[in-house]
Amino acid sequence: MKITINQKNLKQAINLTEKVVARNTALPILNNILLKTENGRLKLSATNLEVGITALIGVKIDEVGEVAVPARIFSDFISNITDEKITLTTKNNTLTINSEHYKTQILGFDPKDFPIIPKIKTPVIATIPAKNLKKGLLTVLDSVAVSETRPELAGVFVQIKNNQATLASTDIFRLTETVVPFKNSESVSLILPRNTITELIRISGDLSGELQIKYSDNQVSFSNDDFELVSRVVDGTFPDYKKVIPDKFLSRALIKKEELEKNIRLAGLFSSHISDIKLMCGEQNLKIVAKNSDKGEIETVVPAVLKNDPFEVSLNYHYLLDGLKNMPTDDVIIEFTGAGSPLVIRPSNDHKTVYLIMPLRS
Amino acid sequence: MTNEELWKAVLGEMELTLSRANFITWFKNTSVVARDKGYIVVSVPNGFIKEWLENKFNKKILQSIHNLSPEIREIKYSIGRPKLEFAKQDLSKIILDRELEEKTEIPVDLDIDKLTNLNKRYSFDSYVVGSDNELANAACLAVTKNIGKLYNPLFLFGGVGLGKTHLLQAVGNKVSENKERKVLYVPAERFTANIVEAIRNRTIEDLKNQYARLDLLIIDDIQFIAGKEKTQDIIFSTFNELYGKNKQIILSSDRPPGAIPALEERLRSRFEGGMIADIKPPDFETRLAILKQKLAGKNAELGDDVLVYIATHIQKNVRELEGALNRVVAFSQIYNKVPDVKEVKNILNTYLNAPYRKTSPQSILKAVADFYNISAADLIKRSRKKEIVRPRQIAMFLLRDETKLSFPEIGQKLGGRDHSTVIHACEKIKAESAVNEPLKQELVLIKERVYNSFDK
Repeated sequence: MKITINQKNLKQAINLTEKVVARNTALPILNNILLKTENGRLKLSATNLEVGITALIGVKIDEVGEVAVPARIFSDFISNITDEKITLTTKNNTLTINSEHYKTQILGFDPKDFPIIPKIKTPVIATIPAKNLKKGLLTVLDSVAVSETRPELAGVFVQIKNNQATLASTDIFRLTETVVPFKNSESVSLILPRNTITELIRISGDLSGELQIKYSDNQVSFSNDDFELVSRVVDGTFPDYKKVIPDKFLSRALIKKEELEKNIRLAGLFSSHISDIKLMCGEQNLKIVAKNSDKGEIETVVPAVLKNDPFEVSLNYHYLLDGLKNMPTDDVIIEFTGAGSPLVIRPSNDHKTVYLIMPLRS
Repeated sequence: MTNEELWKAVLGEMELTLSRANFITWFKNTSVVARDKGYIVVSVPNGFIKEWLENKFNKKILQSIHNLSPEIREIKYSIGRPKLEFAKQDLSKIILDRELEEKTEIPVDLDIDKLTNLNKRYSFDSYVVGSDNELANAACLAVTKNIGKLYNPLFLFGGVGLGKTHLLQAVGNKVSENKERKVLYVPAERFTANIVEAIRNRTIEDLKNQYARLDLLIIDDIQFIAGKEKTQDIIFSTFNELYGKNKQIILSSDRPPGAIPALEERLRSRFEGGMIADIKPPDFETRLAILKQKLAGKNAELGDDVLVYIATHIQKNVRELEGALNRVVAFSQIYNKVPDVKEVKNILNTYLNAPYRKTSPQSILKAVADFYNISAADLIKRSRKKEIVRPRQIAMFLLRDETKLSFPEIGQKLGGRDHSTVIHACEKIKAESAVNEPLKQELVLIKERVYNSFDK
């Protein structure tokens, strides 16, 4: 292989692919990025056998070929050099990188050992602007279960239907649901694993335009012209979470989001080891109270517009902040649905997003 | 050669040619799921592995398969869990189970009401009334009809596994049918834990107010507050508050209020101030009725003679009764037949042949001597000092009571005393223990020591 390439483009392509590379001591080949010339472009691939990412960049090819190079050192090197034009040549699995100021050789691996990233051959089932996907996934990311004890909860449930996608996640203490506009040709529902979501969020920030989605055989792919992410989907059935979302409320309060967040953060300083704070909503305002026998206590007040009866509820303030953070509006609605049943948070003007928190038992 | 054997042979061969890490990465969770003329279908866990096997190992795999069964010329790979194939007919059930599981997941437990702590399973309908728990049952029913006015507090006591908790919860459930009423069921230990938490967070007043707002407070196993002063304090003030407002209080314990050690006098007298009802171990007829009722809910059939056998042999405890029944029912479901008495005897062997604890005279003498802080030899000596005589008499009484030795034998054991001395001692202690509460407790404590020494 002998190619000439722009450093900025290469750096960007490496950025897209390298994060998926995990330190895998059992199979050292997985620590590599595969470089391969393909149809007049250079293809970079990386995988951890759960998620596989490929990125294509335009280069000048003098001689075709391929090589697998350790991702860490390749990436560190390329991002730290300043020369604009780089030539890459390979010989006996060694990659030689030459530019105006540097002459480097990186020891690589046999590209034949590099895993083959599956191709999904079925037609595209949906498309979505990368920005929208990122926003939707960010909203539901916080409530994805961290533990793998129930694999179906360690992912985001995606239901694509009628030109919209409903994204939902829950770790059984809280639940988020949000609706994102999509263009789809087929209805499909699947569970995306947590790692795939964090990758997608990271990557779709760098991408512009639309992503195409394909799905078959337990694999899903997100791609555009010069990028593709292939991932397994979680094998399992997502619980029927709709039943958990209360359809009626006892009381509701309208509150300025920013002020509420600030005060919750303050109250959080005085929460006990279980991160509990208490919200007491009266006619005019919402009182936030926290007590900690080691630190002290706090009481703070936020103006609120209350409908129906006053209420009070204890909950984990981290969960509350996570939920508020993702509300797109300046005002939020907090709905009280009874002692022992979830507290509901919604944006003030749309019904696309809803966030539930199970209260703490007093 | 079955599919599994074939695949095992292939794996064995592949393992030899690959590194351990490679082998595990590519061949874990693979299996042959189907075989037809000329080809087999190999199930693999994901797309990466499918691609790899198809492109890299296909030749090798095919070769080793070909050696074992020459008619196979092609291998197809499919993504999926190997086990799913076998369990297909149960798939709907799995999903149903999962959904059921899930429903209970978010409200923690469907059966247990979060606000009242009551378990909906317990009701008066499922409680079997016999002559031994008639009074308790009637008192509880009366309380549900006339809450706070008739018997306040209601104090239930009885041995382990006789249904105290069932009755308490049944009252709670009945009363909370009226949504206006605030009911709380709390085991004494939880009560203490709540107080500890409240003290830590300095919310003790909130906690008190919370209890004071209730219409019905049920505290289970109240004997556990013994010796916990702060808990007793809170119970005292809560008690007064509720009692003053004619709100109902129900308590349960394994012994009457008078026999709970380290309980403050002011609480004891309050507990005794309402209605005290005891639950005794059920008689034969009641036991049989309980068995029949439990059986009805289990969707299994057993002969009357079997039930009679169980009811005759397990006498002390309703919980054990249910345990024995469960065992028999499980047996009949596993082997799919109705067991006869002989088989039931076998099944329940472990229940019935629990090691019989026989007390020895030595252990009693030692326990008595230890308890009164004298040496066992003192008991046998001829000393007539007051501090020795009384323990000696107690030892005689206990020997008679627990080991059923004859009076002359007891005399012999205690330094060759006359049998009339022993008779006198036994009668004296017996008469005294009936009226003297501290003595009664001493006897209980000594017996505890005797039996605990067995467990070690």
